[in-house]
Amino acid sequence: MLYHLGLLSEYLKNYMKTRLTYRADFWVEVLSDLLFQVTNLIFIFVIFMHTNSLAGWSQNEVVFVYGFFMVPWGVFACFVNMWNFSERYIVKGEMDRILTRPAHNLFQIFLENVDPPSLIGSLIGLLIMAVSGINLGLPFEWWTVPALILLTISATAIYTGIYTTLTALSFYSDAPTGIIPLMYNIQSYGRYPVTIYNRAIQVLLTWILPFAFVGVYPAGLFLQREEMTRMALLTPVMGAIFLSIGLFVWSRGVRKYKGAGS
Amino acid sequence: MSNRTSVAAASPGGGYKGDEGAERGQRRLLLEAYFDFIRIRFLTMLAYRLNYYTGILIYSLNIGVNYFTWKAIYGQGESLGGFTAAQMTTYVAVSWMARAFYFNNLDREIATDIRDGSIAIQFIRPYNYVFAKMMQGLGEGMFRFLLFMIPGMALAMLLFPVQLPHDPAAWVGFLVMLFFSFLINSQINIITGLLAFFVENNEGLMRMKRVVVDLFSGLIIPISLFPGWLSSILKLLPFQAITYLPGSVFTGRVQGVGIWNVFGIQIIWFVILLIPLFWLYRAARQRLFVQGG
Amino acid sequence: MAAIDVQDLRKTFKVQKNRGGLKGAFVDLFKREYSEVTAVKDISFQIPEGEICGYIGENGAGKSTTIKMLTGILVPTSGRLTVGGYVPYEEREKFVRNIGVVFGQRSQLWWDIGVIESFELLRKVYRVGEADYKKRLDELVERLELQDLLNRPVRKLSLGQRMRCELVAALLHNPSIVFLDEPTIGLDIVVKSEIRSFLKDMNREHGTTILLTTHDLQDIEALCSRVIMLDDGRIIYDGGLDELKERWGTGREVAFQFGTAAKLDRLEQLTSGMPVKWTAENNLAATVWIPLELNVSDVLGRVVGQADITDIKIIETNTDDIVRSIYQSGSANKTEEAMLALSGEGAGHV
Repeated sequence: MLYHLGLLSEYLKNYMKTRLTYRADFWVEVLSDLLFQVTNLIFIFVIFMHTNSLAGWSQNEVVFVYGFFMVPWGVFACFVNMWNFSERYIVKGEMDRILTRPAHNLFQIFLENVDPPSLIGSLIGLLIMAVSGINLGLPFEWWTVPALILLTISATAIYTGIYTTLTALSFYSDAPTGIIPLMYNIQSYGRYPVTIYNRAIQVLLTWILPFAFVGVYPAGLFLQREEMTRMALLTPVMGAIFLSIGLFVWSRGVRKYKGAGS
Repeated sequence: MSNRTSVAAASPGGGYKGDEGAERGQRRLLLEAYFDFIRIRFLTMLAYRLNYYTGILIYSLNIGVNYFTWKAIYGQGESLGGFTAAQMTTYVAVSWMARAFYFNNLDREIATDIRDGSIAIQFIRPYNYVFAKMMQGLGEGMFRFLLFMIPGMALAMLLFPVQLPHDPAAWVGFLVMLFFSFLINSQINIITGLLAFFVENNEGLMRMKRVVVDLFSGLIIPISLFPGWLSSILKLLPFQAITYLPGSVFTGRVQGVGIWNVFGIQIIWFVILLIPLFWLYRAARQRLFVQGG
Repeated sequence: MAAIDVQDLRKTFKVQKNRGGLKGAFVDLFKREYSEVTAVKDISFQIPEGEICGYIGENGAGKSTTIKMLTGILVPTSGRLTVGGYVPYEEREKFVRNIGVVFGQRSQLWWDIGVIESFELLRKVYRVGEADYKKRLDELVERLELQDLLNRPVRKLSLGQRMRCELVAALLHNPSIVFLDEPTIGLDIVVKSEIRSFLKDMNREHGTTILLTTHDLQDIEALCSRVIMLDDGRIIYDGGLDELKERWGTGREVAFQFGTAAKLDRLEQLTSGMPVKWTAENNLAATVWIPLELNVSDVLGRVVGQADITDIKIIETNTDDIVRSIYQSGSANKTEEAMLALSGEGAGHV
C-alpha cells in the first residue's frame, strides 16, 4: 500500500514535469472541460425558466444534485482515466510494457494517465453545492464533510467498477465497441431526480448500471429527502460490489490479452 | 511523367489544355475516385459492428433522457416556447436522429493528418483534399442514415410518442435541409480542423466547437426556449441551420412558404461558410508548400 | 537449474475472418466467423543460467509470441514453463522483478521529460535501494557513455542514444534474466557493436542469462553460444552456432588479389579436378568457392606460387546464408511431403 502511494506521488511529479512544458494545453483543457459542464448547467437553468419544479424538485435542488454529481466524477476522471486504453495499450501494444513491470497492471495504467485538471471540476462542483445549499438553507452538520468524503469515494468506486469492466472488454476485441461513450451517456441520467423517469429506467439506474448512486441518491442525503436516505446509505455497499466486479473482470481479461502485432 | 500531366488535367482548377476527350475521361475517373471515398468509408463503418449496435442504443438513450426530462417539465403545461408536448417529443427524436446523419469527426481527422504530417502527402495527391474529406464524411453519413437513423427512428417511435408529419412538403423539405445540415456541419468541422495549421493547441478548440454546436444548434434545447436576448443572438449564427431549422420543418412548426424561408437561411450560411473554408485551404497550402509546414 | 525451462509450449490465437465486398460486410454485421491460428506449436527447450541464446526465425515464425509468454505478457494455451523459478503469468509482479525486457521498437521511457526522471521512477517501481541504484546507474552510464544525455528529454535523443537509455532502463534493477526483442534494429554499425560488447561484458561479469531475438545475424555471431531457430511455430534447430554452420554451411570462399593479370581459365586450370567454382571480378581480383569437404589449404597450395598474389582473404559463410539454406531445405522438405501426399492420393485412385 505504502509502495503504491509512493508510486502515485512519483507519477504525479512526472505528470507535472511533463505538463509544465506545455502550459497552454493545461488551461485549454481545463476550460473546455468546464464548458461542457456549463452546457449542462445552462440546460438546467433554461428548463427552470419555463417551470418551477421538475417532478417536485426545485431549481436549487436540481443544481445541488448536479454539483454533487461533478465531485466524484472529477475525482474519477483524475485518477481513473481509461478513455484511450484500447488504442494506446492494446493496439499500440503498450500493455506489454505494463505487464513486465512489478506493480499491479491496472494500477500502473491509472498512474500513467492521471489527469489532475479534472479535479478542478470537483472543486467547482463543491462550489455549486455550497451556493445552492445556502440558497436552500441546508444545515451544515458535523457529519456533512465525512459523509461527503465517504459518498464521493463510494461513487468513484462505482464509476471505477463499471468503466473497468467495460474497458476490460478491449482484451477480447480491439475493434472500437462504442460501449464507453454509451455509458457516458447513460450516466448523465444520474444527475436528474430519478423519479422523473419511468419504472424500468429507475430500476436500471439503481441496480444494473447504478448511476443514480453517483448523483441523485447521495445528494438526496444532504437535501434531506427522506425517500432517498436509505438509498444514499447504500452507496458504499454498491461501490464495494461494483468495484469488486470490475477488478474480477479485469483480471480475467488480462489473461486473455493477445498482444499487439507479432 | 505522363502520369503527372494527367494528374494536372484531372485536378479541378489545373489549367491543362489537352485532348478534350481524354480530359473528359480523366474527369470521369476522378469523379469515380470521389465516389470511392464514399464507398470505402461506408464499408469501413460496416466493419465495426459493435460500434454500430451501441451507437443506436446511445442515440435512443439520449432521446430517452431528453424525452423524460421534457415530460417532467411539461407536467400539465400546454406549450413551451411555441412547442406542444407532442411536438417537443418529435423534435427531440428527429434532432438526435438527424445528428446521426450530419455528425462526423472530420475536424479530428484533419487535425491528426496535420499533426502527424501526412497531410503533405494528401495535398499532393491528384484530388482536392477538402472535397475528398467531405466525401468521406458523406460515406459515413450515408451509412448512419440507412442503418442507423431509419432503424433508430423506428425504435424511437416504438418507445416514445413521436408524430410523423403528414404533409409531404415537410418530408421533402426536411430531407433536403438535412443534407444541407450535413454540408454546413462538415464545413464547420473542416474549418476547425484546418485551424490546426495555425493554432498551437487545436484540441481544446475542437472540444469547444463540439459543445457549442450541440448547444447552439438547438439539439439540447430548442432555440425558441432560450431567453430572448440569447435566442436572438443565436438566430444570427450558423449553428441553428444544423438542427433547429430542419427540426422545425419536420415538426410542422414551419410550413408552406416558411419552409422556403428557412431553407434560404441554410443556403446563405452554406455560401458564407465557403469563404473562410477556401481562404483557410489556400492559406494552409501556402504554408505547407512555401514555408514547408 | 535452468534459468528458462519450456515444455510443450503452445499458443493459439483466435482470428476474425472478414468476408469481402459490400454483401460480405453486411453479413459480418450480424454473423462473424473466426479461425484459429497456432503461433507456437508445442516447443520445448532449456536455457541454463549464464547462457546467451539467440532466438531466430522469419517474421511470424512465433519468436515474439514465445518471448511474450516467457516474460509473462501472454498466457500459454498449453504446456509448462518456468523462468527464474517462477511461472511467469501466475506471479507476474514478483516474477518481473528478476527480469529485464527491451522491446527494440517500443520505448520504456517517458517521452517529454529528462531520461534521468524515467530512471528515478523505475527505481521506485522496481524498489531498488538508493545506494544500489546509484552504484548501478553510475556503472551503466559510464559503460554506455550516457553522461551528457541524462537530462535530455527522450524525444530529443537519436535512435542510438535512445536505445542505450532503454538498455539502462531495463537493467537498473540488475535482473538475472534479460529478454531482448530486436535490440539492434535500425541502429548504425558503431552503436550496434557497442551494444553487443556491452551485453557480452554484462553476461561475463554478472552471469546474466540473455535471450535475444534478432534479424541481424551479426548479433548472433558476436554474442550467442547457442541458437534456437524457429519456423512456423516449431523449433527447427537448437544447438551451438559452430555446429549450425557446419551442418548447414555450404562452403567457404577465398578472395584473391593479383599483382599481374590472371585469366579465369588459367585459374580454373590450376584447380582442375577439384569441385570448386571461380568467379572473377576483373583481371586482378577473383574469388573461389570451396565446398566444406575440401581443405582450403589444398586449394591454396595449387594457386600460391603459380600466380602473382598480393592479398588473400578467407570469407566465412555468413549466418544469413545458413538461415536461408535452412529455409530452402525446409521448404524443399515440405514440397516433398506434399508430393508424397499427392502420389499417395493418386495411388488410391488407381
